[in-house]
Amino acid sequence: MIFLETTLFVIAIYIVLVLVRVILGPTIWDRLLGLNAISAKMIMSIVILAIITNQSYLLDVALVYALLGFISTVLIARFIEKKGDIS
Amino acid sequence: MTDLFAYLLITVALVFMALGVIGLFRFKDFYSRILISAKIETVGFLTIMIGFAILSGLSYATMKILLITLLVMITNPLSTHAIARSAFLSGYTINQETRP
Amino acid sequence: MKKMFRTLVLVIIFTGIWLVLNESMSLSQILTGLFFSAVSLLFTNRMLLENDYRNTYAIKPEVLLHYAMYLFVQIYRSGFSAILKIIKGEDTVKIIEYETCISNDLGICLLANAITLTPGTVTIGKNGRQLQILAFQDENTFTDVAAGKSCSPYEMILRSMDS
Repeated sequence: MIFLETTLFVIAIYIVLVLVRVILGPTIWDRLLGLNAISAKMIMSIVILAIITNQSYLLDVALVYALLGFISTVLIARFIEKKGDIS
Repeated sequence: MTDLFAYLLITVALVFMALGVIGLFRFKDFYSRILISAKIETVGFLTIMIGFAILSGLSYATMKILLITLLVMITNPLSTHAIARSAFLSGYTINQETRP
Repeated sequence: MKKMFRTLVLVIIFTGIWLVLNESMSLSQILTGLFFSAVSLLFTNRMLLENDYRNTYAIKPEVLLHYAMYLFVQIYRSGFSAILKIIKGEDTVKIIEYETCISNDLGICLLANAITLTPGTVTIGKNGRQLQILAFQDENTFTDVAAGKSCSPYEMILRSMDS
């Protein structure tokens, strides 16, 4: 099981690196791209946590996280595309 | 034996994701970043999820992991498409950052 | 009779998802699953869609399966070529104007989704049957097709989707 914990640690490092891109990112779309990548990595880490602790209700959390990440990314992208004019 | 195969898949997926993160810093233009990084992400996600499904055996948890994978495979292209379309319609032209 | 059969297939698929989400196979769960699948199908038909559900999402399951298998292989092939691009550092991109040869709206939607899912190409616009594709400079699957006026392999599979 030490392998899975190492995997979790490596994914955490990736999340920090992508966060650097989000902070540096020259345009707002770079930041959105980083948000999307972080959401995908969070889903992976929740699934790893569910396998390590052997509790399958955490997978429902991952499912809801996937849906929320998708909706927030699309909403912010549409908001910028319409220049804030949502009607 | 199957556990070893699952570990191998997870390691391959980690290598894929590391290359995606490197691509995020290496390319200078936004459009090439979105082409590479978000899509390497897809390959890594698919591989690592298949690894987890093999690792957790035959149970309801496996079915749920496959359901999550299917959901992300359907929604991930849509969000990438939304970001690229938003940049394109806002007048962000190709090679804008590298142009002298 | 055929309409009844296709509705029944949809209800059975939805009940399967309900059982997986609830992690149990007891009789009461199966009954609630059947009830909620039928109610959600009816609700979608009446309130959310303009046409009928069966006509809007008319695709043969075997075509969908074949398409998914082809897409799976294609994702990994383009994934490895994308790795080469990262190592070499090529970063010139271009926009391709591409006209599909499928007229079905769901087919065009599936094609655009597949293009975005494959590493190296992203769909950024759709206007009727015209697709705008963002790709690397040396991408040639779709430019060859546009020059030769034939269909790409994706569309050859999707053409037989109508049941």
